Amino acid sequence: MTKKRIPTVEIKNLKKSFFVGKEEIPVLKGLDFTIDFGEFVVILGPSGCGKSTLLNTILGLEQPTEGQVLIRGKEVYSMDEDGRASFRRQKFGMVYQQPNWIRSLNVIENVAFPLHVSGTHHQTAMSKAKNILYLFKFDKFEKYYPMELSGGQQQKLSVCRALITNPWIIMADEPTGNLDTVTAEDLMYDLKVLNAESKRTVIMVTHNPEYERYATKLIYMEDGLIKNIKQKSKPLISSEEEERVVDLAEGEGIV
Amino acid sequence: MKFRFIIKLAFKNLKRYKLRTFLTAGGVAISIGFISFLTALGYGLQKVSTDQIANMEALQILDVDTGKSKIVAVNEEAVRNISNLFGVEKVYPMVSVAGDLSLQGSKVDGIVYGKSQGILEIEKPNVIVGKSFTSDSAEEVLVNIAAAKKLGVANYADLVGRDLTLNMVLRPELIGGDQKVSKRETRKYRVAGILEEGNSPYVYLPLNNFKALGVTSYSGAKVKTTSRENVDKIKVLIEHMGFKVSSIKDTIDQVNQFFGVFRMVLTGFGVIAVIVSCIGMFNTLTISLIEKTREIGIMKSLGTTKKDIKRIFISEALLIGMVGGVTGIAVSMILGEIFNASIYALANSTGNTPVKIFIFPPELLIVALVLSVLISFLTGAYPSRRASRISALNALRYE
Repeated sequence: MTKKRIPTVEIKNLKKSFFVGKEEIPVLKGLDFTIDFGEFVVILGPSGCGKSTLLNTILGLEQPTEGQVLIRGKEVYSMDEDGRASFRRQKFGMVYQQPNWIRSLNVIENVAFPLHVSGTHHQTAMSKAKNILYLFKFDKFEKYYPMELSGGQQQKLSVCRALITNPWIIMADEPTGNLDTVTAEDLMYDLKVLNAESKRTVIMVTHNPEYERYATKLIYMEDGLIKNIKQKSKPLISSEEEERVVDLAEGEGIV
Repeated sequence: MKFRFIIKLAFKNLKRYKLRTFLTAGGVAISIGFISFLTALGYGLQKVSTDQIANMEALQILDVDTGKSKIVAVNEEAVRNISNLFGVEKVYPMVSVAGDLSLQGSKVDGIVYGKSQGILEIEKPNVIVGKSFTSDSAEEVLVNIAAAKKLGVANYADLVGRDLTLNMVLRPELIGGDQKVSKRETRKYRVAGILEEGNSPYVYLPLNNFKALGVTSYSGAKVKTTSRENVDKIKVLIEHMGFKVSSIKDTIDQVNQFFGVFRMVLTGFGVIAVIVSCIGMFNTLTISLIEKTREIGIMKSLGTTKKDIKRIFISEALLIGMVGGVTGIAVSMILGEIFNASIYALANSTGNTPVKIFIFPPELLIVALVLSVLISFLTGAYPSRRASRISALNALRYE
């Protein structure tokens, strides 16, 4: 008998409005969907449809007006701001459209930063960062400052940083937005490998329909609503395998 | 976040803007240095002047006399009463009378002091030739240089061993009884030594000689207390007996009070400098906050807590403040010592007593250091609070 699996992300009747002056502008108008473990989800939609707001809400950065966000059964907004911050650090890895760096830190220190946030011992954090940099062939750049690298390199580096805490979920907000086609494909390939080999759930937001082919699940959004959800394939991951990945302690090597 | 990492991050942030950090820390250094330099000058000058007034033992002494009162008298009974007060170590009565001194025809007006050996041990007059009394009843006198000169003795060493005739006027209150008129007494005493002090002629006579002349009351007394702390209390008690009491401590208290005000004025100038440097530091921290808005956003989205963000900013403020403060204190001490050394050299070459006009007591250094930490917290509080409250999303959108 297989026990019932908890969805990795569960969105229930999610609504979010912003106020401009006294005028209420609804951005998310009631979303319901689930994401299972190991999926590669691509959220597609035109600019301004609420994709990024949805992403930030899942991350615990944007308090919803109504509805719930559950990460493996845990209600995100039942925690306070600092609680959400440490939850985010453990469960999510973020890749943004523009890489955001702490400019006074060099490449390896930036990659190790999320571990420092959780108070990991300095040597441990640095050796983990070194491993990841080696895997992504960044080892010779570790003493550089991130701003000295090219845009593509910086995006790859932010994947390194996203992976350092060994998160369940990689969140990517238009990660290829500033890259040329070749570099973009390269980055997408990395994300796909992470998804397929290391069993990370990937949630990616884009307006470029070209990336549909990487997805196992496609979510089309329009004007704050889900227009269509397409399950292209089902990731074949046993519940034992899922447990193994989920139970990995923060910062344990995976890649 | 580990404390070490926070400090490291704050340090790296400051290192990135070397010039700005240098200028801000320089401002703090100047203000803290200024304050410590001026206060040290205040301390130094105060020490120089109080040192010249008295040694520590003199601070324990009270001078008692009858003042203008005709009712009370410093007699044996009064001496006994004062001696019995708690905290009084010893009472030394003394007598002073007007009179003239004559030596082989030359005559000079002067004052004759009746002093006991005990009192001389406290006063420590400078006997340059000869020696002090052998006992309280010895028929000897100590003559000061001024008197010797007026008596026409060119080489005052010659005076020692010779007989001096004293003609003393004993006032009625000294001899007691119903006498209303002064009594004159003329006696010869051997000169035992020469005193250095004094511009007007006087001699010291062992106290018991006055008793032999029929003196029953004293002109006054010196009261030695067991400790400096008791002086004020005992002073009040003796004043209640009807006597007039004064002490060197009063003078020193006044001098201290003056320098306390003086130091406050100097410190006031320093405070103005500190306020200016505070504004500079606040400015730097606020600008650094605005510049780092995006970084705060990324730190927060990577899971940094509000508390840690706050700590990073406070650490930056503390680093600037501490570096500035320590530099300022060090520079002010070096400058002060240079001044002291040059005054020392100058005094030695001109034959004066060298004095230290800059003194850096440990409490001054501690206060200056605490002040620089305080400045850091004060100026860092607002920017760090604001930084911790920045919304991660707004910060990430910030250009």
